[in-house]
Amino acid sequence: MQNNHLYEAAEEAKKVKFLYEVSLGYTLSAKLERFFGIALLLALLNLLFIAWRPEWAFWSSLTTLFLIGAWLPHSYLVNRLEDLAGYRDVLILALLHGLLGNPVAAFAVYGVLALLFWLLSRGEQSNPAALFALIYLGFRCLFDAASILSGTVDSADWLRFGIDFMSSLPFLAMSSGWFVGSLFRDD
Amino acid sequence: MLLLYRFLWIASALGIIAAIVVLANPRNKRPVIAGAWSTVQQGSFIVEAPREFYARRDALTQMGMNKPNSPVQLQDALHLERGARTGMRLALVTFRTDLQVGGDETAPATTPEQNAMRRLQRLHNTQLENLREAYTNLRETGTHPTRVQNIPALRTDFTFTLTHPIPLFNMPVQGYLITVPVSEYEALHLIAYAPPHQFEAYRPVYQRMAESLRLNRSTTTANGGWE
Repeated sequence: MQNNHLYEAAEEAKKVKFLYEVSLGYTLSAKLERFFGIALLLALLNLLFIAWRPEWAFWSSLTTLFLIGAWLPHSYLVNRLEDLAGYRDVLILALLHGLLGNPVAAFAVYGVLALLFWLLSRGEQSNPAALFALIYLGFRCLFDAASILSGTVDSADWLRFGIDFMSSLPFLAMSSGWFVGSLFRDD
Repeated sequence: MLLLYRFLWIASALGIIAAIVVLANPRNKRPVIAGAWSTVQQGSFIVEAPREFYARRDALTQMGMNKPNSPVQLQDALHLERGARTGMRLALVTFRTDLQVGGDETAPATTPEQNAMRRLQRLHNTQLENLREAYTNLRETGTHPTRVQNIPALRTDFTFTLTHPIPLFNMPVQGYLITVPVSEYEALHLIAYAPPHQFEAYRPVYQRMAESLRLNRSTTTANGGWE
């Protein structure tokens, strides 16, 4: 029984492998470690820069978010920005950032809209930018927290809602990074 | 290679925690402005302000002024703001003489100085009324005479609440109103405000802004008063 190749094939089939693990050779934990290995290092450098020169916090955060966005497709955590759904989601998120002026509110509204369309389309709707938006939100909150602690940003300004298209600049920077990184990823 | 990434994210995460702790340390006091100042010239005002502050002319209808029967007419206004809780508002106002309203103006004045002081007090009180309408929970903490550019003026300190759609995020604000006479029937209101924990740090900044203030006389019709 042990030497039966049909039995061995059946046993092998019981070990579940995700499609991306087969095609890329990376498990989810490996992708996460690849991404955060570089992204957290960039974030740390940005925090040190904010502590040194708080008045340049906005522009250094913008640059860091661009670099994190460029590394994102190379870490294989997020797919390349290449299909129409990805561009559509980026456009919706940029508009929400400009109209609401708050990254948490923009992400919450985007999440509700995505869930709504997913339910209406009975699971046919895909949102390739959802993970990208979540990662952006995490790093943006980290950098804004550092700016608030360094005294360059008031917490009242961060909490308010309102039309502020400057608020969408960091998101556009990371989206641009995602786009540029997608161009240079060789699959 | 994966071991290198693992080392990087663990070391970086520890570094980020350390950086946040250092930034959050209350002993680590930093100046509220970087130190670069520029001259802002807008409308009737020429003022030195830190680079972090952005200037915008205010609509004449704001600050609760220009009501049809108000004895005080707003001529020009300028906002110098860093954020919702940090900034200075300048308002140049004229006392209308064509409206005869009751109050202390009807009492006979003994000297021109007393008359000017009454007028200044009235302008100051009118602006305080406007602020009470404009800001939520405005509480005056004291009124006392002061001097701006060596000119006698009136100052009232106050606190108010910056409201938010989510009441949990309502924020306290501390500030003051200074009314300075410019000419016989003109006065200037300086409204400065900042978060309570940074108010003392912003005090010299606002003082320098007030001391550097000049009026662009080519845009105003009044004569006399400041340069």
